[in-house]
Amino acid sequence: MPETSNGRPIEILLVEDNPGDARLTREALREGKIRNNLNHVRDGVEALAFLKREGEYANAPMPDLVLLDLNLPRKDGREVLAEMKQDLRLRVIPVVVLTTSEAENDIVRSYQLHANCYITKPVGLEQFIEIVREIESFWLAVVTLPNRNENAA
Amino acid sequence: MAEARLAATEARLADAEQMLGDALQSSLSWLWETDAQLRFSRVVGPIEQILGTLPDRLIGRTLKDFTRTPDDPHVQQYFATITAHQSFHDVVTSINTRKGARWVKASGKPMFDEGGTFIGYRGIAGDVTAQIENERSAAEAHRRFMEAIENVPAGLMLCDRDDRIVFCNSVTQRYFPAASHLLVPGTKYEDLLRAHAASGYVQGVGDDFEGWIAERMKTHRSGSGNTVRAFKDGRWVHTIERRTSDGGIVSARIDITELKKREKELETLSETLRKSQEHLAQAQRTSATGSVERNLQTGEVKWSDECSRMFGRESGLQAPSRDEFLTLVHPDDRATYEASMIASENGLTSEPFKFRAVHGDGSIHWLHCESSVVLDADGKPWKRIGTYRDITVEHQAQEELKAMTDKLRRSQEYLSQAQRLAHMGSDFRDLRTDVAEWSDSSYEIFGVDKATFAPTTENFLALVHPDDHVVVARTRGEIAQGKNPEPFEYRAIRPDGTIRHIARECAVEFDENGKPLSMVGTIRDVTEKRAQEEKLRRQSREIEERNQELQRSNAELEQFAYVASHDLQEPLRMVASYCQLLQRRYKGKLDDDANEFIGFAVEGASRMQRLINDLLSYSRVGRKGSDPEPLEFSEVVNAALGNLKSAIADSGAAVNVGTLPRVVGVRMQLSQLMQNLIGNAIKFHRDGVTPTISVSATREDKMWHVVVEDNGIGIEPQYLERVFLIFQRLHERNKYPGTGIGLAIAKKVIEYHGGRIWIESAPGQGSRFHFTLPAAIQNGATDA
Repeated sequence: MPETSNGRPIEILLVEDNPGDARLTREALREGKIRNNLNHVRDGVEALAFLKREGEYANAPMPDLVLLDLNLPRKDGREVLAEMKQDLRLRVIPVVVLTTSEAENDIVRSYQLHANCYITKPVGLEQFIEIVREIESFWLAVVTLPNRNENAA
Repeated sequence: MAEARLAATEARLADAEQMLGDALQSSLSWLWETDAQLRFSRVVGPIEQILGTLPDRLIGRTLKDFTRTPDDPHVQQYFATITAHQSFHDVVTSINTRKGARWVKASGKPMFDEGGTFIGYRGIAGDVTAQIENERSAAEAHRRFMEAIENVPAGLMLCDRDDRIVFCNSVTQRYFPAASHLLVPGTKYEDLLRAHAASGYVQGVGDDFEGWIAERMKTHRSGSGNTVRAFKDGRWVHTIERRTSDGGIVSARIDITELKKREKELETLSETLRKSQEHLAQAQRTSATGSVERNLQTGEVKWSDECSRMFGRESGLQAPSRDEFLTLVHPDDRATYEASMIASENGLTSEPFKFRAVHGDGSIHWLHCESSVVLDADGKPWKRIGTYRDITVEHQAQEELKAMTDKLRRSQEYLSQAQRLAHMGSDFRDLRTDVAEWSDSSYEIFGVDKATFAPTTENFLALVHPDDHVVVARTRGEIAQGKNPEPFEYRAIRPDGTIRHIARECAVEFDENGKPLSMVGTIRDVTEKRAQEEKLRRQSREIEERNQELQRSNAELEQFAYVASHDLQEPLRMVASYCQLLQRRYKGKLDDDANEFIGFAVEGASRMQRLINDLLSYSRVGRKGSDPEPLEFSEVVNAALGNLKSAIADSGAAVNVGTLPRVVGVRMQLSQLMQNLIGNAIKFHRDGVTPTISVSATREDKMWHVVVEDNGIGIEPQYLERVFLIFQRLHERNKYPGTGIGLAIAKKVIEYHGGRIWIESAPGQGSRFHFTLPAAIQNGATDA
């Protein structure tokens, strides 16, 4: 099972308020080929706290990939995206918007906020699993991301 | 000798006595003497003859015993005189005598003796009654004469030979109103005239004052003046001047103003008379009359030249016989004419009548005939005398007048009828006199009776709705300012209380100062029209409201469908995903029942997903990215066929696409439409029959009419309308899968494009789906 160059598992932050979807994502990733560590937060406030290692997330790992739903309680995905892309440290983390919305508005707006890609959640389980695998293989295997440690330094 | 001398003296004395006697006799006088006490002592003369009193009766008496006028100042004077023993002359007094009162004139002188003692009077007296009476009557006559002259209604003036006024009556003052102070004896006539003329009272004096005076004086002195002058105050004066026997001038001035007025009237009357005489003459000249004389016993006929001309015959020819006469009369008038002749033949007078004479050239002449019959000594009808007058012109004029009157009456009726039909009235108003004429329908529109309603402005305003007085007043204000008012509307209240809407248009005629003279206008009763408009407005407002409501509810429905399907998606995804996850993870680990239950759950969830997806696409039609553009319809069809590739391949369907036009539409929606229609045609094929589908288009005005025809199972007629309703399925799900939304989407797409969709079909005979789409405007090379 591939892993990061320094041998630790890939850290993924899933920002998803629907526990069903979260579990499905977790199940799909479990069937994946890459060793990963899925961190799940339920809203935008938690997401930003996690990313900024605030409060209970003080020791949270820096994620390698963020899977971000748009419609979230408290602070929605668009705000999270905007804050992340304004933060030099967080800006480098690829953000995959994974949402049920097919609205053109949401798509355009997300890319304007520098989302790295926008994916509509498919309806069928098979397709969902397929898509999660595709995300996994592309963002965690195909592309080269900046070095975590260097970047953190 | 002495005797002879004595005799001679006696003779002379006697002669002298005789002479004295004669003289006294002829002068009706007598001689008298008194004593010192003034008592008559001697009387000589024919006193008895004169006074009827014997001389003896006087003797011893004084004058006082006889006088009738003792208080007369002259008599008193006389008594005073004689008391003073002085002479007196010609004292006249009236005395009582046997012959009645007589006027006596006496003279006397006192006598004295040698010693100078008064011894009496001696004198002469005479009867002057006749003389006095003559004088009296002359004075009376003069007084009467003068009174008469004063009462003459003329100014009379007498001038002497030196042309000075001797006399004038007071009436004369009226003719010299500014110079009456000069109307006194002694004034020179010329001075009077100058003052009179200079006062400006006389008309026609002109600038040459001296010339006028000279001319006037010349006339005056001629002694035969006869002039008429006008005074400034309108009076006319006639002056007549004549020379008197003593070389003076007598003149009379008469006020002839009334006369002049009459003269003027008479002149006018004469002119009128002269004119009417002229007219009469003219009338007589133009209305030539002709006559026919028929001897009823011999049949002999004579007619005047004028008459022969009236019947169209040459003059001088023999007059026609009775029956021949009839041939000259218009066939329609012969009976009337003959009736008149028969009446004459029976000695009866017939009424005057009109008939037509027909001339040789066919021309028709209207004649008026008056006939009379003369009987002979035996009382038998002898002669018929007919008088004819050509009244063709008159008749024509009458006919024309009648025709014109008829025409006028008819057109008035038409106008009135037309106005009534058009709910219209017209009127004319003289704005200076406020006299107006209304057409009959105007009265009807206002609901007032023509016989009792006077269309004055005041009465009209009383009919105007109080709330609209301001509108009418504004128009009246515009007219007063010299403007022609714009058409306007107001409401009138009829006497019965109903309200009418009146549309008013009028044109005003102004004089050169912009003062309004008259107004001609129309009114139209637009009550029904306004009511209709109001109804239409209300209806269209209702429709608009309903439309808006519909749009709102449509939008709400779409929003609902969109939101619902979105929100449904989420839990459904959970259901479907976890059922599938169960299937996936526990395959072979559960029993058959569990597997079947999970299978149903998965299948239900999938169907639900399709339904939701279809609902979403239905609600999306016309929502986004839907600006219509010109496009090739064939491309749309090809896109649909591409999406249906596998279905076509599986069914072996033959799809024939004809030449398709350019239309205006939304590409995505139209390809969805064609996909749904062709897909349906494939899906609903008949068992054992290869689906054959054709797509064709024909132009209809601004639209293209597209037909998608198949040879499928067809649709029963009662379902033809229902197929376009959302989620309407006609067939069992397992035989013909689908959500029943395809045709609902098709209908929505077509309606969004402004077209129409319908279906022709019969069970077992295939279906023809028709729809229309707006044609793209052929715009040169770009559209070619």
